[in-house]
Amino acid sequence: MARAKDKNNQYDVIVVGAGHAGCEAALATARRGHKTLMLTMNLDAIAQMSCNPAIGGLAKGQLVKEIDALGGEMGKVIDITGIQFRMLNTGKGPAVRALRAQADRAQYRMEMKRRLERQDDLEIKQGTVVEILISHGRVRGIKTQLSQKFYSRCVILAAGTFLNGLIHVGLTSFTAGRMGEFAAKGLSEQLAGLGFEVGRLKTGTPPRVDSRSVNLAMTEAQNGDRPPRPFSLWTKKLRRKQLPCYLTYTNEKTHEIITGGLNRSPLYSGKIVGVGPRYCPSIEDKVVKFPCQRQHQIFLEPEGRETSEFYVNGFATSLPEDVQLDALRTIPGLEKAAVTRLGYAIEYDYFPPTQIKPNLETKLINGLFFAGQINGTSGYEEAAAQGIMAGINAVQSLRGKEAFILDRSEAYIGVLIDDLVTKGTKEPYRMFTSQAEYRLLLRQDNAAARLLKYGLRFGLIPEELFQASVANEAQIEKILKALQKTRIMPSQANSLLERKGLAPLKQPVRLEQLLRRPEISFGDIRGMSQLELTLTPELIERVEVEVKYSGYIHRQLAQVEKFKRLEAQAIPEAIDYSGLKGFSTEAREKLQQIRPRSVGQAMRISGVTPADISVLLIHLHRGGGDDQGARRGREVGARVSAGLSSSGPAAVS
Amino acid sequence: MILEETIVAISTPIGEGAIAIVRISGPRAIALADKLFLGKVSLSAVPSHSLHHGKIVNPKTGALIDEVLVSVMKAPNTYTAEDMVEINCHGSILITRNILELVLDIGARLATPGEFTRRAFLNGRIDLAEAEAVIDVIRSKADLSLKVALDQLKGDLSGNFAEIRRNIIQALSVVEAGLDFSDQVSDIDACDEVLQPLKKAEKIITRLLCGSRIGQQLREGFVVVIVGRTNVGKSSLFNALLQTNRAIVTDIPGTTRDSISEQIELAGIPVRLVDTAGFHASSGIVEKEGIKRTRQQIESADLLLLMLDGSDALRKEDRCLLRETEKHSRLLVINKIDLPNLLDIGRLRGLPVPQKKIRTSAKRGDGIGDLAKIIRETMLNGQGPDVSEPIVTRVRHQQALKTTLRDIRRARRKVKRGGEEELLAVDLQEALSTLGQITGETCNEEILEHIFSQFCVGK
Repeated sequence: MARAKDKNNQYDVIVVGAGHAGCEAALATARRGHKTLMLTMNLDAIAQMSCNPAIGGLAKGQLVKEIDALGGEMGKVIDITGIQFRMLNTGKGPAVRALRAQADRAQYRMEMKRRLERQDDLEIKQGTVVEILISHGRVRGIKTQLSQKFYSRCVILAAGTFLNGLIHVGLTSFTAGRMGEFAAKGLSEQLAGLGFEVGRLKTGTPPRVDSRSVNLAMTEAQNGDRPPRPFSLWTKKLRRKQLPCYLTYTNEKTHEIITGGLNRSPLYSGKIVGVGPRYCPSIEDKVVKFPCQRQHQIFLEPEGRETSEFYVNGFATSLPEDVQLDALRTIPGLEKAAVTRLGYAIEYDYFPPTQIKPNLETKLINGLFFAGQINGTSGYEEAAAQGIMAGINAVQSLRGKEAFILDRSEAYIGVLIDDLVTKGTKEPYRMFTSQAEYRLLLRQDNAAARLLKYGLRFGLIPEELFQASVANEAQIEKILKALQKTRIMPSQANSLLERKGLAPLKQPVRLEQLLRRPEISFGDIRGMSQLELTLTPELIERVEVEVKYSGYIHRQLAQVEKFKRLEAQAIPEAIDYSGLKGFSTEAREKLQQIRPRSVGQAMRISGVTPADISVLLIHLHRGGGDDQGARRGREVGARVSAGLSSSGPAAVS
Repeated sequence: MILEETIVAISTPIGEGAIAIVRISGPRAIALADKLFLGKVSLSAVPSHSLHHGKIVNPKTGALIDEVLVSVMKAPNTYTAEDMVEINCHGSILITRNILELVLDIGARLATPGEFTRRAFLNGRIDLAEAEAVIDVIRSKADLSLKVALDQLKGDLSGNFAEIRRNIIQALSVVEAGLDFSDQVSDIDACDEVLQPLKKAEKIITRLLCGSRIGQQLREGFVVVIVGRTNVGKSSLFNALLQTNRAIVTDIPGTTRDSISEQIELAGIPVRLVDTAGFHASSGIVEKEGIKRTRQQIESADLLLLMLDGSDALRKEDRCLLRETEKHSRLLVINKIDLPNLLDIGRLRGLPVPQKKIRTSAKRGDGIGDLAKIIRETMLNGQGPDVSEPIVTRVRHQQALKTTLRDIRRARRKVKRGGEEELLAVDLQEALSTLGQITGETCNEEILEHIFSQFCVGK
């Protein structure tokens, strides 16, 4: 018997799932003052890192910084529970640098749980959701396996790999959400019945070994940065001692054993139907696809401070136990390895993300939001990013306020969600820097400057933090002005240039011009400026970036301006493409399905040509009705068409 | 004024009439036209809806392009409701295209299909009820220009564009792999792996722009070579064609002028007409040199006018020439029809003879007009009466190639200096996006595809 609605089972928002998406979503809605219920199948697996014990990395590190600037939790938690921090790509330009940290898996879980438990307006319960309650196209709440009913106006579904999860080890397979945890049944079927398209993806994880069985002398230790830098704006200093990781390699013997076991691989025997990520290949994939490569890197990463387990990064596999073991033991250092957990592959249901709107709400059911892996993404950071966005947007929707959408020029989060809702994905989607067309603008060093204002707007960032960032930006501006003004005589600069093996100056230049040369650093010219400020390394880095990139930043900013014009041209939600003439068949179908919210988004849909966009513009401006409306429509359209042809897509004469 | 960009297009079928119109619309229309216009008045100072006589001059070189009439129409009472300028020039493809290119060089952009009409609509000049018609215009023009663009992209040019693109993608993949997977892609000799494909791409572009048939055609027009044995009347035909058609005076570099080669315009199409030394079977050293040169000219021809003497029997040299030029695009000209016919056409049977033939008397001028027409048709080769699309498409190709070349060179300089990979990537992405505007392909997914197939990345 379901209880009647009473105050005790009424919430504003229900978050289903307590992984990285669910945690950020629940914290965001509760912090915005809305009574939130978070349901998880297992209270001891909150914020579980199902795969590698690490946060950040290339492009992902940027995501964490962005989540942090919006007021999310991931950066703060990893700063406390990290065991090794490294800045990647230090040899490359600042736009592509990124932070990565090894995590203490158990501590990360506990620290996140602690924070959730201390959050006002947030209740956490253990329970398995088997049904979304829906009436008249709007979400009403959820029902659990035990027939408990909880009611809310918004539900954020963040179910990870749990929907009809199926684990494979060799030719053995069984249903599970993660190793050792139940799969969630019923939800996919219900949603499919409502008209949702359900797809199948696959991912995998490597075995773990007992570090006491590893001969570390045979491996290469990799240490963290000294001093380490934190992810979060809230973290003043990282205090805890860092642990090393260890690098070793596979060899031809390893590959031979793996090849010999392929007939019992679920991947190669055709048992697995889900599509796996190309960027995260299993070891058997690597061996098969790159037969000429004689060795592959294997990283042994500590799972935590209190455990002796190592994560064998680079060795994801779903081969049978004996093959995993035999192959591992050919690797230097792992000759006597004791495996604590076997590697496995998992297939799970996802909902191709063209079914959601840019605010992560489903197109079919009002108030139902999807976040994380069920949208076809992979990675904790991608999930967390969607989580906080879904949380913020659920509240926007409750309050009848405008959706919060970051665009592609503002944040990696914007690129991520726009890619998902516009292009969909057929493999687990991972963030890469090359997916961002304005990569030079979306840097980790300016995430605060880009996004804190939004965190503040939604009450997730305190005023002081925002003001500190504003002051910081003002200081950068001041330094840049000084560099633009100060003129340097050849006599002042030539000894420096000579030392660097550069041609001497013949005429005076501005300091900025000098700094723009790739060989010159801020440290080199600091003495020549009259700046008497105490500058942090971060500040100096920002100044260098702004100066050295300035030409390219200007180019990208000009492109962004055009891009923004197209994004600003809204397409009414109610538009029915099937009744409009002039579109190609393919364009009509795609537009009808994806229902872009702006002309800019429509242009990014594959199969929609510039001619289709012209036709769309005409239709948009006919819809104006009265004369004034029509004129207004035309003006917008004219602004848009000004940006249209030069902003990229094939323009036919 | 709402629209910020100024657009330009050739708004008359090129090569058809004696006059062509280059139409400019947008806020800078008058200012841009003024930069090219040399007349008694400055266009910025003239009243709306007025017509002015003057010259179009290349502002960089000072070279005269054409004598023109320019009409200036100020917003809002114009077709697009924007400032508009129409340059009425001579209806020569070369001149029209030259003017179009100049306007583009100083800051306008090519109009998209139906854009003038679309602007007219957006600016309120066209009734809402006419919107449907506007859609039809856009659709049909887009389809036509797409077809033409695709036609032109077939064959040689297409292969070249694909090759340029492939090389840039190759280089960019290496750069991107180094950025997105720096912890995994072991230090490849990135410098060389990026430089090599860029060098290749640059070489192809340079060839396309300068050395190739397309580049040549862009600069000089089609090459028509007159061949035949001595005394068939080659020089007479050459002169006859020169006399009945206007010689072109241009500032285009590379235009060669000598006694045996003239730049002329045949029925609106720019043509370099080449006379050759008589084809001679038995020969001394001097003549051998002459024949070697003739062979080179045959090789460079877009069209051969193969001449036979109608007042003489078929000779060994004639047969030899017919066989030797079999693979070329050619036209058979039987000359000297003012004299009694002694050429037995039946004797041509069994020889590779051009499908099209024409009878002329170069001396009297008989058939010269028809010859010009046939040459024109042959050269346009089924592209229909409206040749403006192919021409505009070519301008587009040329501009795209130039921009791509600029970006590749920027990138190469960075590779040589080392570092700045993320900026290098921007240069290459811009190059790809420029090429994408021609080929209609985007590349984001392709780069990743390339990386995953080439490098074993991912943990």
